[in-house]
Amino acid sequence: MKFKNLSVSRQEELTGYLFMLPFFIGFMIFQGFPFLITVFTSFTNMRFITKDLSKIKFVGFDNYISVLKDPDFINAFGRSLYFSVLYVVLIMMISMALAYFLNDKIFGCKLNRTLYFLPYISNIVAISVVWQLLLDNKEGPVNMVLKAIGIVNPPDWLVGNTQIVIPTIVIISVWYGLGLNLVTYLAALQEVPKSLYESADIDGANELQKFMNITVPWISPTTFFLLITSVIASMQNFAVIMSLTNGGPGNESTVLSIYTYQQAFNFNRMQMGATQSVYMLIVLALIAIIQWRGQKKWVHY
Amino acid sequence: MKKARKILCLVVACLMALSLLAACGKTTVSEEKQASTQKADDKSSTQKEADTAKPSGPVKLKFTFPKPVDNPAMKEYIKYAKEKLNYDIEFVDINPVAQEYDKKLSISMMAGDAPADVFYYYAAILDKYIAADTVLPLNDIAQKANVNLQTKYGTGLTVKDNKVYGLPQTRDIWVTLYNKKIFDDAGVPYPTAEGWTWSKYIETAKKLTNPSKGIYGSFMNLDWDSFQYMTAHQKGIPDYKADGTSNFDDPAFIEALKFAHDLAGKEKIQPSILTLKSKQLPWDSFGTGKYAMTVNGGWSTCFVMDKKTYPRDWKYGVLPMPYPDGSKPASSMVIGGLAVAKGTKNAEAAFKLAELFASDSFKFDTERMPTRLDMSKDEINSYITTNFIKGHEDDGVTVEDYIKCWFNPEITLTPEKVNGPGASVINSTFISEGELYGIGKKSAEDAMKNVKQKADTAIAEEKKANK
Repeated sequence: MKFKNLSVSRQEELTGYLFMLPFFIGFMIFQGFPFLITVFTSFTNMRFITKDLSKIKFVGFDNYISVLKDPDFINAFGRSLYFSVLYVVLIMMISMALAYFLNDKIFGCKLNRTLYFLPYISNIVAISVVWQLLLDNKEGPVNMVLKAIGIVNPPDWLVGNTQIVIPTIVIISVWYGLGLNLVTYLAALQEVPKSLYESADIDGANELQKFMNITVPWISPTTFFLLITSVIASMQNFAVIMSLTNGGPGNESTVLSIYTYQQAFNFNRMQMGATQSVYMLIVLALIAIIQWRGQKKWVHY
Repeated sequence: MKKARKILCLVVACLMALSLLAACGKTTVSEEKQASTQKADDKSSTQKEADTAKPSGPVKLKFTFPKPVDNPAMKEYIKYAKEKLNYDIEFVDINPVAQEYDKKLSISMMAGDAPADVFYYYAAILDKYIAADTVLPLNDIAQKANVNLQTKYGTGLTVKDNKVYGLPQTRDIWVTLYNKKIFDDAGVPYPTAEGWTWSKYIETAKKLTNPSKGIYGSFMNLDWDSFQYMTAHQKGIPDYKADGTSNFDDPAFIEALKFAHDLAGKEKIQPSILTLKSKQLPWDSFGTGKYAMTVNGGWSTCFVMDKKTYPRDWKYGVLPMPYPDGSKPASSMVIGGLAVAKGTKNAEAAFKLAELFASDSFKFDTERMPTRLDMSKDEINSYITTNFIKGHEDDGVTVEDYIKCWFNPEITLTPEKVNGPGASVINSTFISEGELYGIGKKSAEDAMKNVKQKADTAIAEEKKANK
């Protein structure tokens, strides 16, 4: 069988598969096989290392039950959800609002767009160090400003206040991730036909009505896409939390990703770490399914 | 479409075949090793293991340690070992940071291969490698090499089921370092080793603390696990009860937790845990010259020995670790050692390298104490003079000062950290609960209650897993 003897459509199909191949190989090596191993490990008693495979026993759903009985897992899971809700709501609202304003020809528009995107391409650890210095509870610039405007006891942002630590990390994460959402929204906003706004003007619609009835529905596919990616991004908070608080104070910012890492690599409970990862995957998949099903009611293609 | 599917199937099949080949390749190596290990297991003694593992060519060994490859002491040691043993020694740089080294070593072990023939271990972690059957017992090889491990290293050895698995390479006994300039400026006389209790330490530090100049009398890393239970260990309170459960409901542990954080909160002689974290004060802050005293492991002498990293215009003094009032003098101590990976092809040579390092490396490393018990007074004096006095005569520190800290039989040596079942969970819980107590979000009683509960769960779980 020669490639040239195939019909054009089959040649295209074949070419398509060949283009997929590098991704497929990379995916299987770095994600597919590790994922399968993780699922396998979650059904075993493998705590650490063993060359003697006979020591690894299949334990059914024991790990899944144990994890649910672990109060630290439940707490970490709760914190993750709290983090996600705050993050997704904030990043979606702020990025949409900013994109809406930056879409107009305002002074320094391009510079603003660049500035908002800069954190996204910066190193998260370096950003964390800068934020730690900014938020130093005694001599940090943020609290100095707050004191100057009359706030006697400004918050201990990252280290001393167990109530405020997650919202603080969320704000930093939103600031970091805003650029991508903003640029995506800007691209979507530029696709909205101006004729629609002109018609609305003729009909006497105000700015809010135009935004709610034209802009929001028109960019709804983008909103849907960003909603899914933001939910996933909100769960991928390991680096920022590890560099800012290491899960502290106490365990107050120990979210699921941090706790899973601790279980696997600090406490040598590899099977528990794997089980928690599977739970995280299930939750993310469920959220994505709910969003996918729900999109029919509000996404307009 | 059918043809396209066939092509796709073909591609996937090729991929699977390729990965299978790769896996087979790996298996061949693994099988060889497994076969070698199996052979060794079949023989009753480790001596026979060593015999089967004799190399045919020049001896090549890999060695790993939590230090960077360009560390001068490490370079000197490798050179020394090459000359003494005539081996081809390759240094494997895993990570110089202790915690990262431990994690990366664990991951390598998890992957099924030790990264080196001889590897350094921290006292609390060798147990898991032994349980995983990845460490070579050394009794028979030592006997063949005419090394009496008991006489030479005694309690420093890591022993399990009467088998020696690790040789002590570092014996780190805690000390107090002080900045003489701050004492002079405040007109406070230098403290002495005799009767150096915690109350004297606090009393002295109070006289030296001067917030207007940014001077604190004390610096300790209150966010470290060992500080949360330091005085309980010094008083000789065990971590585990006779029934195997944790002993953290002993009032001494609540007192220890309160004591550590009171140094900042009540006594105000040092930065609180909140300040340490908020200002990101580094662990080696004593080297900045703004702290009059620090209590830390013997390795902390690098703050005053290494003038390149810590340039100073002040002189230092050294004392033993302070001890609790009403108790006998006691200092924290931690052992780090060297183990031989079971998969080594040069068991005898690997043992010789580990033993040479355990025996002689103190000659090249100023931060560590000798672990040998058979050293003469002259050897001890020479060690202190060479490593701590020469080049630092201006400081006015004497050999006797160091002997009082590190070679004083009147000082009881107590474990720096919790070592035993569930240790990693216990130490981690002490850090998180200690932090919550330190920032005032939890009472000491509630914090210790949580430590006790989590410790007991971790111990029970580990016992169940090891059955």
